[in-house]
Amino acid sequence: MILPSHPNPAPQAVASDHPASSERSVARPSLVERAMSGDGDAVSTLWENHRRWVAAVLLAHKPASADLDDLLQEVAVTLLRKVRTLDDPANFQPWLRVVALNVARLAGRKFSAGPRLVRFDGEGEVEPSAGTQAGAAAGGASLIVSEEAKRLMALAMLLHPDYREPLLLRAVHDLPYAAIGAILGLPETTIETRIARGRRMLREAAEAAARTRQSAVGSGVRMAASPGSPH
Amino acid sequence: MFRPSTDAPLESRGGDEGAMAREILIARLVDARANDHDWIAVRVLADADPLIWQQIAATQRDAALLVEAARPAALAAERVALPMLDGPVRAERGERDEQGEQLNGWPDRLSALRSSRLGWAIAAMVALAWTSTLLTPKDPRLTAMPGNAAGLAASTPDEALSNYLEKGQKSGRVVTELPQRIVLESRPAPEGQGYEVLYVRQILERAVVDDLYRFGMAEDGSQALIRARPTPPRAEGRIGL
Repeated sequence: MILPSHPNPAPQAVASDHPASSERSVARPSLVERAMSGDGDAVSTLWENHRRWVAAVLLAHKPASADLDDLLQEVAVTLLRKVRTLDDPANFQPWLRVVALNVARLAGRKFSAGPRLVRFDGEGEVEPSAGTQAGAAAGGASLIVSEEAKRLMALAMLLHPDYREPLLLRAVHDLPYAAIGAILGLPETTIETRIARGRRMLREAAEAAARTRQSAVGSGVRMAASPGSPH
Repeated sequence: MFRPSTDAPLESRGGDEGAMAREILIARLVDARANDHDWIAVRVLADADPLIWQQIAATQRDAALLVEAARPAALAAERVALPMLDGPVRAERGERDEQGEQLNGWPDRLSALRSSRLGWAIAAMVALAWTSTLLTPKDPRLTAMPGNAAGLAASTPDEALSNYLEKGQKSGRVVTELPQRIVLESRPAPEGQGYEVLYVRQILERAVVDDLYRFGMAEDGSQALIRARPTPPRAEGRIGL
């Protein structure tokens, strides 16, 4: 049986105004060019169109205890300040990704200097750092996420960034492979391979973790049994 | 990288290449990218090894769980707007975009203030200018100290702060509150749960003054106010201190 490959267009360095689908990733440079010339509405629209995948990139690369809202704000300010310095509108998405990577890495250097508390709520009360890496990775937002989902996210954060980032771009923004490729500057087939490999590693890690939990529960039951009862 | 062979049937490929082809098939099914050929390939594989259906189901469940776990991040993205348009005054209501005008030319300074050393230098300069009786701000609206500008009806500090920020932005005094808070000290809370922190809340204000002064040293070694020059931004957009 022959497994056909999907169409693999060379990654186009296009100035996509909206990243969601391969059709919409065709060049519409006017919005980026307007933003570059100082049009505030264009900058705002660009941010609204791209901030979700920016959140995915930050999520993939930030330290666990860094607050996602703060990092998003940093990227937004940098976009506002420096979009005019972009030399080619077609490079907007890769440029914005680099901005997000730099913000995440800078946060990593800051947080490595000492303990930090995650966030402060409106009443000025302090919330302690999220207990799990998954909870912290999710930005600490007050939203109910199942323990199973948190565990899987914690495992995903242990993957190599090359596999973690495309997985999170799918999870946060449901981006098609072509759009992910345009952001990362990689062919669609490479994205397909990385997502497939990442999912396999995640699946195997989740299965191993589940076996470990079951084994621990089983040991607890055996230890709790009375001395005379059969195991 | 997986490259599908145009010669050998899928099920005859051994080793890692065959395993990778299988994973890519699974990914295509999970992401609704599978075509007719892919479905035929899956059925052929499943005839030899029904375990593939379990793997497809597990991968699909994992993908859904990741979406669930990533939802807070997606919501965070929806919350964060560009600073320029986050203020209460909007051009489409026919009013001046005062915050936008305040930020025009200021975003470089917003970023510069994130460097705490630079921020403290600027804050010290402005604070000294305010406390000096030699300075008289031009705009009487800008003379009110924080707190006085807040509504007297506020019953909590947070309400007062919110009033101050809102009224300050309308008057042109307040540019924005910086999102990052500087933690000076932290310790376990006295009540036993949580932490007590001492932190600095940073609020960016603008003022128009007649002159700028800084503390320096007079010839006799005593401290004296010395007229200062405005600091122009550096080429990359940072304040040149």
